[in-house]
Amino acid sequence: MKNVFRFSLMALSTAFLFVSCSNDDDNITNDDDLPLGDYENGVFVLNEGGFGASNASVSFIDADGNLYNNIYTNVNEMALGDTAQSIGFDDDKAYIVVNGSNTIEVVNRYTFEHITTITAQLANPRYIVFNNGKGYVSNWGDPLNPDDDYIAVINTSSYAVESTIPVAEGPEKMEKEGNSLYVAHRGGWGYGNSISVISLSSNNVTTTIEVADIPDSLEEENGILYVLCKGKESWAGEETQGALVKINTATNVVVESLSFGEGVHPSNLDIENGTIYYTVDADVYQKGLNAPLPSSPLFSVGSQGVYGIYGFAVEDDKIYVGDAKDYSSNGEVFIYSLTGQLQNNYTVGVTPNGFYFN
Amino acid sequence: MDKTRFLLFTIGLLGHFLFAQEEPELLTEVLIVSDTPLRDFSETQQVIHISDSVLRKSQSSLTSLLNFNSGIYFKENGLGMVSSPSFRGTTASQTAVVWNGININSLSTGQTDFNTINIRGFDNIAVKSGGGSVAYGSGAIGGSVHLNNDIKFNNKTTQRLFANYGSFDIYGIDFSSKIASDRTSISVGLTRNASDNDYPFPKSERKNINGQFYNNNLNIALGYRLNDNHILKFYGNIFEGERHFSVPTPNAMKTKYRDFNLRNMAEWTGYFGRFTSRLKLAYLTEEYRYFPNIDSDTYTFGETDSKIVKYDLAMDVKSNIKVNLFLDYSQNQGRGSSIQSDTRQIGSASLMLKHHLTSKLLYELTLKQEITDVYESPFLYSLGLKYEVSGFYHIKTHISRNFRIPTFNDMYWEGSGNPDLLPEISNQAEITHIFTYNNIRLSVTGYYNVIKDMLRWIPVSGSLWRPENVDSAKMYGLESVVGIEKRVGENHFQFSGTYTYTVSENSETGKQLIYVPYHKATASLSFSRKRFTTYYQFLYNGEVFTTTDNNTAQILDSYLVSNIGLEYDFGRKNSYTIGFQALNLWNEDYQSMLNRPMPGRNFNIYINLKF
Repeated sequence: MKNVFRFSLMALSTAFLFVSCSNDDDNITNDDDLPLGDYENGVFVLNEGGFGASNASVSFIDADGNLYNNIYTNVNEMALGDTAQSIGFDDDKAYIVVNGSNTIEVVNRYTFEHITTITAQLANPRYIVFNNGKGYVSNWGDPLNPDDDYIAVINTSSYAVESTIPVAEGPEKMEKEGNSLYVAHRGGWGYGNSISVISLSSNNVTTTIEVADIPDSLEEENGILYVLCKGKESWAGEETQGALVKINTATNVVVESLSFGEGVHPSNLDIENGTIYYTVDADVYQKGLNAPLPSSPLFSVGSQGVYGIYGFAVEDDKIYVGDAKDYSSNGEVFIYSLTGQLQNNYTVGVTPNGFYFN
Repeated sequence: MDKTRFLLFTIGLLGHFLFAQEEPELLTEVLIVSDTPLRDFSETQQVIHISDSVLRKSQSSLTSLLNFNSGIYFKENGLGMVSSPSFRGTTASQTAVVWNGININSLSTGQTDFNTINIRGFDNIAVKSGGGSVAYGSGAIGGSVHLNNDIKFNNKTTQRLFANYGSFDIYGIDFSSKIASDRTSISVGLTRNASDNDYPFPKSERKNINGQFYNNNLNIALGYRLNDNHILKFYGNIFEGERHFSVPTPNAMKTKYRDFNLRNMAEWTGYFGRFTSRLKLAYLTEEYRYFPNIDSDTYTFGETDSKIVKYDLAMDVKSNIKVNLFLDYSQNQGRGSSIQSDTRQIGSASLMLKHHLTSKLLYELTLKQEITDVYESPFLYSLGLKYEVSGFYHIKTHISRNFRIPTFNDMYWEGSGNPDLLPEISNQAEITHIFTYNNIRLSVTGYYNVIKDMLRWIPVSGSLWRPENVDSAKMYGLESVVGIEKRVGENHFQFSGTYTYTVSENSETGKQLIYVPYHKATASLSFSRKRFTTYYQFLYNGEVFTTTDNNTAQILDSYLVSNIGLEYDFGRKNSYTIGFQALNLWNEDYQSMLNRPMPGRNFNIYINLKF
């Protein structure tokens, strides 16, 4: 299979030179414009791999629904590394943050050809967002040191880390809004409950906003930052309730906090077309921006034999679910309609944790 | 692959003419052992005794020794790093490691890291296949590995100095001294091994980073004969080691790990006519420290200790019937960064019987019941039969029920430990055919093993992982041990080999368990003439799956690793040997653990002085 794929890739790249689309492997678009690369139109699935197993990989599902596994290795003939955490896009580049390897692999987002590997000044890197020629990377630092966590600032021309911004323990996902970078402190190896606000002009933490325990995901919409907090689970010692916290980004003040019930620990916030989506275990929930928390799920993925929702995204009227299964076999991706009708499923790499749309 | 298959086939054929010492050594009256079940009640199972000459030719880790001399598969995170066994297709905690009769598997993890056992400190090492939980407790499911020190009242004084140096700055020093009268026996061994371990990966630009390690080991065995009927003994072992864990990828955070294990046992043996009484007191501790960042002094740790009282009374009921009653009480304590401090107490009673029905037919029966309030403990037993059909052909059969108890981590891990776990239970049966012809010996064993209530850490909700009794598995296969020894004039040939075929399936999915090869073969050939000895060892491991769905894209390929050695004895009265080895002679690029390459060709010189 792999050889067939490699052969078809070669055939395709040859096809580019002649601007012909005669290959019957439908994975290039039929745009009139010159295609930018094999992966111009579709969704990347990041498979984090087993911790320590160095088998992270990227899968690609093109606009026609064809699946290509292991594209990073197939294009670049090298391994991606150990425990890939996330991908960020900047212009025509994709930055793959590889947590266990302490690296960021920079590739062309359309061809997936390797450009460079960033290794310096990264320590347990997690996520990356971009602003004005700079990439901001959240880092957990030393696992046993709660005081060495930071945001690394990368110059996207030189790929060098220009500076670091010390922050509270466990910086995870980030959201840029205006001149501010909002950093959710999920807590790393501990449990966090705050959002740091970093001024993008001074690169300093200007404000810290307290939210509920374990802010898992965040997104801004119409001047409001929505922060989904998971709450501590019973095994963390003292169980706390999850919450959806709304922050006014003009004032950086919490304007509303909706608490989930006892024992409900939500994650995977995604806002698409003015609708909030999130998940609890194997259930997918949906609500309007200002609606109260729904009491019943939109649908549950349990009936597909999905063990739990690991990766999750909503895009273009489709809901993407990554099922990690037992974390030591190849995972599966399920694509549903917005009403929860299963449209497609794919066997991808080990532990699919995220979806990134080209 | 075709080349490998062909080689395997050749080896398989060759293997059937190879030699292994399979029966226990002859025991003279002056030799006192502590592992009496191995001596007295293991005749109906397969036991490989690894001879001293094989031990001296091996590298110092128990992993390396057994990789090349048994059917056990090892997953090794790179040379010298964490190493765990799969014996007859079982999991890492289903092989018991037994030190002078006492199970030393970690109370925290249930398993032994085979790279934290230095073989140089032991007089003999044996591998017993199949169930043995009555005698050896938790984890004796796939089989057990026995590390023994001898106490001899033989009026001899010997010292030995062994030293080696090799590629990647590996070195080892082993000094041992044995001083014995007819009343007193003192045996002390001191060992140190270390390596920079920065080997280049074969066929790659990369090399092993942060893999350096050292370990120090002290072994003591003391015996004192009070009078004809009473002997006092003491066994001690201290292992202290530090390993930097080699990084899986070049820029990963560097970590290191320290082990400190202490083992003490005192024994009083009394002989009263037909009765032998043994009282043993043991105190064992294990401690680890894990440094997740070597640039920092902070670490996580775990500590356990166990206090054990064992009493056993053996009786020769008649010349053909031996009965042994065992009473055992142990108190285990554990604490650690993520373990609530906890204590558990386990008592047990067992009975073993060996009965020679005729001079050619014997059976062995063992029974055991534990008493504890920590988990529900099953009744355990074994029944074995041995029949000498002819001088040429013997047959053995053995059935047993065995268990593996939940570990401290399983039960007491902060937040996710599960106090309601059951032991894993294994029911198994096997049959062994042994053919002996002149100096050729061949044994073939077929076995079937069903394990239920397997303990697994699984994600139960959200991000919570918890141990549960979830899976069951069935394992079946063939084990063959073969060999020949021949002397023609001044020429001495020895061949030994093993071949195992292992099917190990998750009962629900029908998939082969990960890191269990269908095929493994080992062979070693040694040829001596006058003062020269040359030897060739090899190891074949078939491909293994690394994912539970047996995904073919993530298979680890089969490999064939060979070592060659040459030694010369220049001693006159004593034996002074100097030797040279080329390890991984054909520079095979191989991994026993995904993305953890092992060294290519490397070299080693050694001296072995006995005086």
